[in-house]
Amino acid sequence: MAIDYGWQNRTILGYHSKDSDRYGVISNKFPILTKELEAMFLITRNHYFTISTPQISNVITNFLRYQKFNDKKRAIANILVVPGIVVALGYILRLFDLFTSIPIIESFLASSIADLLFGFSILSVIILWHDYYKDKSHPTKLPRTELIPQKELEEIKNIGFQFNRYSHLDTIKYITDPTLNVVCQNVDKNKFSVYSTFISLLQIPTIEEILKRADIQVDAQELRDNQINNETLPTYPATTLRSILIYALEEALLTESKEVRPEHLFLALCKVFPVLQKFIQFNNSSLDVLREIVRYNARLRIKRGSTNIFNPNVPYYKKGGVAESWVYGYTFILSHFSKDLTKEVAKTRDVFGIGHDQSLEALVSTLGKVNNKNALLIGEAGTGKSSLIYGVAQRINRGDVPIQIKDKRIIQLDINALIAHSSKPDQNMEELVTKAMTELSRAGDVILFIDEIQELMPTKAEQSGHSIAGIMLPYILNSNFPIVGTVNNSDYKKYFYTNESLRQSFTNIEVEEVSLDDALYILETKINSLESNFNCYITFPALIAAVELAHRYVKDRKLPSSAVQTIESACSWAQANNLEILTADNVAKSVSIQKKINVTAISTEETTDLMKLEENIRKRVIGQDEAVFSIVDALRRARTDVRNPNKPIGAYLFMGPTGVGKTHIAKVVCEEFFGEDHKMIRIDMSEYQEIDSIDKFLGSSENPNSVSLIDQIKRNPNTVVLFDEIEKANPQILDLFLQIFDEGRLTSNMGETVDFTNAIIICTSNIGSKILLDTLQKSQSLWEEAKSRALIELNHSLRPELLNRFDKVIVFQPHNIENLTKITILLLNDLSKRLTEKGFIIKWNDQIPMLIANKAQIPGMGARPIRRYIQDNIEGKIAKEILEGNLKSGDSITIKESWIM
Amino acid sequence: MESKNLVMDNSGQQLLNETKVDSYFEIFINFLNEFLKWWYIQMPIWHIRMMKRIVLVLDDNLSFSLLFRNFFLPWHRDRSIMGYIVGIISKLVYLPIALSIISTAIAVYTLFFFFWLLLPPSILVFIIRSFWI
Repeated sequence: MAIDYGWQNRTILGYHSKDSDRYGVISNKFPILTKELEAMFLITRNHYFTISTPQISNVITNFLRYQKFNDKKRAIANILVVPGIVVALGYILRLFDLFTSIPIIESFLASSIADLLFGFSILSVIILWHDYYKDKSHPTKLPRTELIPQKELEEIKNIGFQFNRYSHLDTIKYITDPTLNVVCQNVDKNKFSVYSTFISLLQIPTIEEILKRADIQVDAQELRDNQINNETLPTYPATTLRSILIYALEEALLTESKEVRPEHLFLALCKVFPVLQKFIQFNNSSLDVLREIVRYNARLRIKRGSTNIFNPNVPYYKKGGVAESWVYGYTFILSHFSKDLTKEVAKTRDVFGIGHDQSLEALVSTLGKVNNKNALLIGEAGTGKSSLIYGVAQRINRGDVPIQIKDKRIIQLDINALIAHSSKPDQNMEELVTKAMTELSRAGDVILFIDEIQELMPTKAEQSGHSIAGIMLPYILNSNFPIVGTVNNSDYKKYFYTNESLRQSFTNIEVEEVSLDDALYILETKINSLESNFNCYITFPALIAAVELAHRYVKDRKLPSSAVQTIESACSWAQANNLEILTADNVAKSVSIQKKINVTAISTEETTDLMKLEENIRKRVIGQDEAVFSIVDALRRARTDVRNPNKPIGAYLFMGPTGVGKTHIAKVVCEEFFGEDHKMIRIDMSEYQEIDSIDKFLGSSENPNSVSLIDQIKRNPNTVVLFDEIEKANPQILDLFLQIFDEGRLTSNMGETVDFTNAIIICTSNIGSKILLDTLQKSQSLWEEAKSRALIELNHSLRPELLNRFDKVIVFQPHNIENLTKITILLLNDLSKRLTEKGFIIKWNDQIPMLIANKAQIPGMGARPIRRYIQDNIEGKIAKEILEGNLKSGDSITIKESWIM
Repeated sequence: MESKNLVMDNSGQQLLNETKVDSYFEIFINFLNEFLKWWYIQMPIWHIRMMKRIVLVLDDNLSFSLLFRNFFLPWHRDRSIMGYIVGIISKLVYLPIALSIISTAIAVYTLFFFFWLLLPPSILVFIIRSFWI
């Protein structure tokens, strides 16, 4: 799932040809209109913007003259301010008769020249103030762009533009002076140079900052290497500025800016000119990322402006004031184990409830009800349930709530503090809770918030043994104040679903996981605090990587909490490694370390390893090329990220008689791909013949010490999971495989969900072994027939919906004498390696492996008898020689044919 | 997609080389015009909004309207006779003080507002007077 930045369907670009009086929509390509009789316009939900040639020519002709006039005016005003200040100081000191002894100063201050200087100085101050104000805030603000409804888009497509339904706005009014300055500086003799404009824009500090945030390096060499020059960014007639400025306006509207600034012109150039798009892509970034940064800056400007309570343009959040408590009821006892969220929220400028607009509305309307005003926020850990109640507190402060909850306080009950307080001498929990509830009833202005409300259920009062929930239940059922609780899905089922009265007393509000774009927005609001905490600069690709990787690899928590955790861990990792800038690669490395999954970009060395993977596995797995090829193919897809991320890396069923290497291949793949020290998870399905054994599979709260599959995969999600002899398992247990293969996850008995999307699932089965062996004993040429018959038996033994979900069913061919000889060589090499570590050298001639293979082979038993034969006849003999003292370290041993014969 | 709607007519189109160049005198007049609009239209509106904001901040910080709305509510919602008596007496004492602070702020800002309006002509008068003398 990719991040949807929400640029679509907010603006429509159109053109008008005055020659033929035709209109059209500009969609994929972005033309630059040069002819005077061709014009571009932009449409939003309620407005249409145009820019005309006279407006452009007026700007080109006069803007720099006005600029020159303003510069001179400011210079004169600055000069006049200085003597004015001196005169003003003189006037003040004269009041204290300090100049009576200096007649020259006295007479100067009394003269009309001093008055004149003072008068002009005050006038200069006013003019400078006016200019400062004008520079700081652009006089006209762009309206907010809303989503254009699909119906209207269809109408435009079918009928055309109906301009009478929009109000007309002049683009030129929204363009700031610095933007016009860049444009006019790069127009010469009615020719507009795109290249020199781009270079001028690169030197603007805001754009330098944007590029730094996007982790894009720009220098002269980079520009040359990417062929950014006068040819790729040519010079156009000045009339093209109409198109360029309309594109810049579109960028300003999309990035929620109130005016068209130089960064929007920069984005417009990047959008229109392919060479600049390539340059951004070359730096592993995109126009989306640049836009998002510009939007972040726009939001930051608004946020900074909103910190001043005396700024009439921003909403004022009420705090209650010095005498607020006079009208509220006493909550003396409750205050020992609670906190006032409305007060806490008033201190911060953070935005709460991002991505939960509908749930927030539902919560506000529930709290405003006359009856049944308790609400239960149900959602998985990390979805932002608490953030919702903070959002309500913010709306109460703003006054943006129904009259029923206006001026209410949200008090959060701290269960741990309640337990701690009740454990003090002379305190009784039952009494404390009763008194606190009575206080709340009397106060009449409180919304009680209980985070993780399920914690109330098992917590019991020491004296009476009653649970807190039990003590509170009558108050919850008949409360005259609203109660809001949060609970996760499994605890809701456990505690609320079974309790009818408790369930009926709450209105359920589902809190879903936020979207990736909302999670990104939430991370953006945390950039400043993270940067100051961890002392590192966070780039936007790092934020985006945190959201995407958290969504994909952090399965125990939901967005946005998982993304916040990921970026915090990455910042902490960067700090520990003395990194000043946090990039996407750094986030990937941090996730790789934490999750033990390689999510970083593939290095050249790794590419070579991946290419050699098949060769390496085939060296260790003899005669099963089809199985090796299938698994290696899946692993390559996984590492290059072209697989389906919501399913396991691969799910295979290996069939065949014993000893053909089904388990061995799983072990080898695990070592070769995940590393030698990596342990494979092996589940013997013969232990799951009874349905009762499902608890061993899915974990059980009654036996927390047993290690279930869920526990193993939670500890080690990036591995090979081998289910041995699946035909022996209970069919109901096999049904669980459907979820694993389809969705890449499995839910435990305790409601936890574990992730299988980074695991390779290998199931083995001996179904059809007898058919294979019997048929092949008759003739080796009957392999295909034997295989088909074995598969038919498989279809009869396992359910088709299960078989259908395997990526591949591979029938392992029994080993012939050639393969067995090769396996013998591998086993002897292995023995040689072990003996070399002990200081012995073992040698054998070319005939030995074949002799062993011939001597040891038992039809239908595969390679296992060979291992046993080597153990008994070679390892045993060497051990005896060592014990008898005939072999010393450094001695050489030769395997004799007589040992085998 | 092509359609025949009218967005604008072709009248009034000027060629680039026909644009009029503003003289510095015209630029000065434009500046004066803009300055006066800012001083006498935009800023007075801003001052009125600022005055409203100051009243809002003072009202909130002094809990004036909150107490006024809940004038007859007993002290800390203690619905005993003493609670009612203490509540009303404390508000009777406190509310006039809060009101006087808010009124003073309004009065001072109103004075400043008039000072603002009179500032440019008074400076001009001051400068002309210095010439005269």
